[in-house]
Amino acid sequence: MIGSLLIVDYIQYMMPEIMLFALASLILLLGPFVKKNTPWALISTLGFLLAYFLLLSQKRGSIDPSLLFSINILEDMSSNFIRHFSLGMGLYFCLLFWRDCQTENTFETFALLMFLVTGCSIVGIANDLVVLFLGLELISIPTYVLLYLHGKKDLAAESAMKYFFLSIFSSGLVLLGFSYLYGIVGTTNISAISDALCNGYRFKPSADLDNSSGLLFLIPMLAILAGLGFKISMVPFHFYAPDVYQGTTYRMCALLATVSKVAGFAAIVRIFGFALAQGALPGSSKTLDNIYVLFWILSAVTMTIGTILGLLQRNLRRILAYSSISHSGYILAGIAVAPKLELATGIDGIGASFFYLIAYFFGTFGIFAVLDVLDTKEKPIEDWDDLAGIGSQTPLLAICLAVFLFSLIGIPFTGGFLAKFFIVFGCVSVPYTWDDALSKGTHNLFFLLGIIAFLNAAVGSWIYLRILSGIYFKPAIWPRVFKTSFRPSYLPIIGCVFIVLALGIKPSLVFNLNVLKGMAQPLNSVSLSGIDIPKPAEIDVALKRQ
Amino acid sequence: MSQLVLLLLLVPLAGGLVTLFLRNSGHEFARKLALGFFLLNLFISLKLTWDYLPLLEKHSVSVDEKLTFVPLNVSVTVFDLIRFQAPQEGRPDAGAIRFFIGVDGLNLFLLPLTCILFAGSVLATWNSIREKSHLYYGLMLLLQFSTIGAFLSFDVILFYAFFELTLIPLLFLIAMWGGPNRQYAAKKLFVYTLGGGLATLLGIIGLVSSLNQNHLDDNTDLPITFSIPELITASHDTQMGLNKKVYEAKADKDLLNPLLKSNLELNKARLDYWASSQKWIFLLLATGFLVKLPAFPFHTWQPTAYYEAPTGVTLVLGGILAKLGAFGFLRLCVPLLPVPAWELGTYLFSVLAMIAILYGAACAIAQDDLKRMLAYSSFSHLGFCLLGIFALNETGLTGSYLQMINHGLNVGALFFICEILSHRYGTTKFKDLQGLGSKLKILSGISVFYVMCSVGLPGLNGFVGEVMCLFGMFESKNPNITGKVIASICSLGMVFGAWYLISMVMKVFFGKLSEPVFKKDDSVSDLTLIEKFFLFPMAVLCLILGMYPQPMIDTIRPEIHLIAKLNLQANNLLPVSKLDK
Repeated sequence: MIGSLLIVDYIQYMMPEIMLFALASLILLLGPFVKKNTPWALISTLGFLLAYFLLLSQKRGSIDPSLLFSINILEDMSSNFIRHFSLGMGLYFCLLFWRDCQTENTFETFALLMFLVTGCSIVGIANDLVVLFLGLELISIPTYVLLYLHGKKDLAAESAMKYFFLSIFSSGLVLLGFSYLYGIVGTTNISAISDALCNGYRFKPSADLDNSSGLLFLIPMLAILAGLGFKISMVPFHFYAPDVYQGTTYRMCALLATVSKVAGFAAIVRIFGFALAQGALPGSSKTLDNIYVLFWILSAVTMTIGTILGLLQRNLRRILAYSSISHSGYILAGIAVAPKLELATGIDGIGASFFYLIAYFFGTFGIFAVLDVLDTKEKPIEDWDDLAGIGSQTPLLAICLAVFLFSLIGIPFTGGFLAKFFIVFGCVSVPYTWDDALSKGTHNLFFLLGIIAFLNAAVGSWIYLRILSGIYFKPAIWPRVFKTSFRPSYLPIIGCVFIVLALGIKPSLVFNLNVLKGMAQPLNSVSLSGIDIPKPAEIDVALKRQ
Repeated sequence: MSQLVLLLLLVPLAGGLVTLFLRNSGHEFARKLALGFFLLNLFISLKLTWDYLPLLEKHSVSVDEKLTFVPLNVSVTVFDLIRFQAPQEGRPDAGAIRFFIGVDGLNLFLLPLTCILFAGSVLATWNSIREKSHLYYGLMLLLQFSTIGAFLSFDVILFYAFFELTLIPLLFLIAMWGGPNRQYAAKKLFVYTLGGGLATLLGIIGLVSSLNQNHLDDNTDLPITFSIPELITASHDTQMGLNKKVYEAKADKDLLNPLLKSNLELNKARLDYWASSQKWIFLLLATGFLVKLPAFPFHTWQPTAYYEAPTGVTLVLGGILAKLGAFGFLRLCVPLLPVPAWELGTYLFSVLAMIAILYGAACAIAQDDLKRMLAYSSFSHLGFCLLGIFALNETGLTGSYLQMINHGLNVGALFFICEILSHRYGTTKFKDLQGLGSKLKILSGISVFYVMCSVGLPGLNGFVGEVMCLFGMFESKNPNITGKVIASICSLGMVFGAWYLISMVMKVFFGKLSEPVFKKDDSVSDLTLIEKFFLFPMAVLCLILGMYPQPMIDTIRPEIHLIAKLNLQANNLLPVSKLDK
């Protein structure tokens, strides 16, 4: 296990991130000194495209998996997925923020956006607690500034402050957990920590493997989960979301509802990956065997509370905030069920969660993007009945909005349906054996989770129906003269419609479903001591995109 | 020929998408174009039925051999939609959700019925839809697309997807063109049906995943499959295998051998577990279909939705979409899960059907509005469908299938007449419409004919289905229920049906003429050519189906026989009294 990557290898592997980071820093440095009308949006879009090109041209398997214990970045399926996903998100957000070309703080916006995406990408590839924390902070800090820059004048300060304090608090919790973990294990390498968690004390051979060690590990893990819970707006750490969303623009809502969620789930899967891997049989991770119960409870509570409180709202931003909370619950259900599924089942909890994340991203982003176009100074859109008459005034945008809403409801032939289907299919197909009461109990427990999920989906449909009835079934209050000139944010909207429909009909048009499979078996899942490392060829096959 | 099946699905889809985007070409063009698409589809469906009828003979043999639904060879259209496991040899269905549509005896007649009623619905609203007609007709075409899709699917998930997709056009159609309380009615329908549908989906998933686990042999795994025929085979094999293991071992005398004995205990535990999980799956599956049908405790969305919807949509709702529920029972619930259907379904659903028949009839008697009365009458008549299905013998199943078709025709025609009246007078209240017979002679004549059909006058089509349902229940040998009592009570429903329908005729068409005061300028005329074009051929069809239903019974016999046989075989080894626990 000795040896490490050379600095050249690091640079080569992290080229897209480094490029983005350098470009963002350059923009921040030069911004104040160049002309006001520099096309920053175009530059940053090109930057994202270049980064994506660099990512695509990278050859797979450039990191030797045997070095896992000594390097702080890694390459596996979920890291690749997160990198692609976050760069794609960056591109979408660039187009969404394009309209800011005219305002004063353009260059800051785009530079911060690039930092944010870099952070998300780094979370995906981190194999070290410090690197992971760096990635998370790289998302949080730009978000504070963006929230303030883009807020509605009177509420911006409040919303930014609220987010700032809670986010700092959650970072603190994460740091507490990380340092505690470091204190126990003696390393910050995530692979090594996972290995230690699987096998008990590895780095302090004097301690023996009894139950108390499991409890000891539970404290940092819970602290980390709480901290990351803020990022994914999981109940009981959800309450900031509606207030913060309400005080900011739809563009920023889109950012808050998606990027931090993707990063949060990536981090959860990274840190808890060893316990969540599919087919993680009892005993393979001695310390957190029953973590699925915790995730079960969190998932059920999150989706239920998000749905019920969403029913009570009038303000569109608050409605969508609660909707994003309840969707976190569904995603958590996939995570909860992951360790209980067998490899042969054909469905994979973590994979289903990530599929949900994709469907959720495109649906939610689409809604916010459309609302952002509709929300003008003359006629701001606050409540759901402010949408009255949109259906006849801007029929195409209204159809797009309807498609996204249907996807979030989970109507067949949209991505949202298949996402829910995969999650519940996972929940229901927890295997059981005949003579084992415990396994039957688990089976029934997860069947119950499936029932809860579908009940919430049925009740939650009312939320989206109300928005829909605002769009189509209410007469327009006053005539709206809508400028039909082209704007760049139409591109991501069209992209979202296409992807949402394709995900629902034939997902392989958009990406290879195999990418999602076995995502929870990062190379660090099983202990490296008696390891069988997947052969690079196998990884290659699984990674083959499109 | 298999292109014809695909065409049947694609024509309404393409037509719907084209019509939806005809914003600027005017009302006249939109409705003509839509009618063109509907007629084209009607033609395709008739051609399809005509082509396939002769093929069914050979097909019945293969149904009998394979003991599962067999879509006609030439008509199968298949490709993968979502594959999550590599295909196995000889089992292309393993591990993938497939686009798998085809025609067999069960859906063959429902396709032309769908097309006829949709075309009729367009004719019914020919003059009454004036606003945004491109949207209305586009959505109607999409509704037809999803309905036909559900009838054609041989893949559970595809079936579910189409089944649920019907909600979206319905939501818009009711909420945009309906009566004063339309938005509430539309949303109620949506949430109810979505909730029921999700329960069905949960049942489907539960079934697929529990059949994925091999109950007979721990060492080999069964592939995941979503194809309905394969699922039926798997379910049947599991049940039969477990039955055999338990009961044949019991017959053996050498149970003194401890190994055999523990083996038997294990198998018994498995049978118990499989039986209990089947029960849950059955109830979940049935929920969605009961909501869609609708049956007794889940019917509360129905009167509001039927009343508030534009009559063209009500016609389709009562005529076809309700049949999706009954079709779901015939296609999925009963053949997939014969044991709970026998043990639980007969008991539970025949009582529900009884309540629906009597309660619906009682509600219908109390109504003061033609449209509301027809809504409750439809609710009552569909009870017979449910009753026939859960008689679980060939008579009952055949009767329920005939009732599906006949009720579709009758209720379609009656709602058509309702729309004629409401378009002319702007109201459907009984107190406003009295003694119209002296003014609208042809309309009253044809209405009386359809009312007689619906009442179940022998010789007309309503009679055949209802009576066969009752006979089926009467013959039922299920020890859980007393078929004779239930059938006798349900036959009261026919009496009540005659009561409210004939008293409706008395009020509306006979007696002294009393019309509402008019604001419109044009005087009320008798049937127009368009209306005759729909009502008269339909009447002939009703007459033929009433006099000579034999060809239809023969056509669906293999499938009906199959469902009854699956039931019989699965329950044969398992009389309730023999299950000693």
